[in-house]
Amino acid sequence: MRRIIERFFLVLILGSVLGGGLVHAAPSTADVEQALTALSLTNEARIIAAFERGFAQGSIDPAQMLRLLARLVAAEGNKTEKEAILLVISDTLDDHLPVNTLVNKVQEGLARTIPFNVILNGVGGHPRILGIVQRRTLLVAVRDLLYAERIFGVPEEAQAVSPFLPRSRFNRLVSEIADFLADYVEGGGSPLEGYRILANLSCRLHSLAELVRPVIPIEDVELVLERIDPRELTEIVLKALKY
Amino acid sequence: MKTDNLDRLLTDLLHEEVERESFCLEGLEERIVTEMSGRLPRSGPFDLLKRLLAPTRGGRFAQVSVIGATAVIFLAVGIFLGNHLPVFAPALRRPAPAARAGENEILFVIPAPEAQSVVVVGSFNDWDETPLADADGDGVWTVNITLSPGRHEYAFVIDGRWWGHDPLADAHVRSFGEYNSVRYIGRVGDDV
Repeated sequence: MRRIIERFFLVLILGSVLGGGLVHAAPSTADVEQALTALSLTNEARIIAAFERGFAQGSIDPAQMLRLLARLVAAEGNKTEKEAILLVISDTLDDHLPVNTLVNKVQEGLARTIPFNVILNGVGGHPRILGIVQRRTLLVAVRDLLYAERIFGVPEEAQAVSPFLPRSRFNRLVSEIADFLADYVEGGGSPLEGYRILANLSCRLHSLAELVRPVIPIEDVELVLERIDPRELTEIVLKALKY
Repeated sequence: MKTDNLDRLLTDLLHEEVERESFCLEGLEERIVTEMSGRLPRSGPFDLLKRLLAPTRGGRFAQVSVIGATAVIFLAVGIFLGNHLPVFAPALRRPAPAARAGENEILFVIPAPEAQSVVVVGSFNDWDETPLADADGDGVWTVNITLSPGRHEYAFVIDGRWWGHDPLADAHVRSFGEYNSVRYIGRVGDDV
């Protein structure tokens, strides 16, 4: 009996180790490159280079990108449009902007079986749908607005001797403000009501800052809210909508 | 085979001889060898491993080394299989829902009495399906999901139809012309 129990535990331990190995087989950048190559992209080198930079900077995660690529491959649709989606993400990475909201939108769109051209370019009219092209425009516009208001992001190691925000906090601000503006527009909000945009933005940022473990530090929220004005928010929303 | 086990087997056989009252020295060695050959375990595929893992007089160091080396080999095989066999990838590479420090277990609940299947999709699971269950058949579907602090968008999918109006949500937003529910996880007062 004791021998059976010992054997059982031996098998259990070795099985657990094997299972642990399987679970922790973390996808690597090479896996992502392999998946990208399998897509036979026209701009393969450009996309791979951007993704490599994203992995190196920690702005994207290989496991997340692999899941996105698997979904793109499985989805029915035009190969050129699939590549266009990857190019928007690559260009955003090249601009050192956060891509998590874009990747999330693509994942949601694919899960909802939304056509590629809508995921990419959105739809006008009512309800308005913003594609990742417009969302990328918002990211760039928000970053430029923060720059104009002397709010900058610097590499983490330089932050100790700099009056500016660490890049991760700066990128989080850019990401959350741009995502809020996109939600505001898709929710039917008017770009011309700058004060309403600012009030709603304040609510959204405070909700994130007032968590027990804040997604955005309250001092960053206050910094943004005291420097930007309603007119600037109206301008960048109109820019994204190409008015 | 371990020396202790051999001793025990010999002792048992001698006891049996005595109990059968047939104990005599003549032919004892031959009888015991015959008996032992019948009782000794047959060699199996794990014999080498078992012998290596058996406690030795040399102490525990060799045994621990063998166990450690075996575990490393199994770990390496596991990592190799996980990386190179696509059959393992989809199931094992999903974001793990295991609770970590600072994460909250959130209850998703939706009444859907006529539904055959209810799943929740959201930013927390890359919009993959996490099924809800109605164990007692009362039409109320539930699932607990461990979420990190922050803002999460989601929707229920009831028999294939998306439904983003969770009454328990903190907010609702439009997305692709439909509605998503929003929850803020880790607010003051929540258990983080």
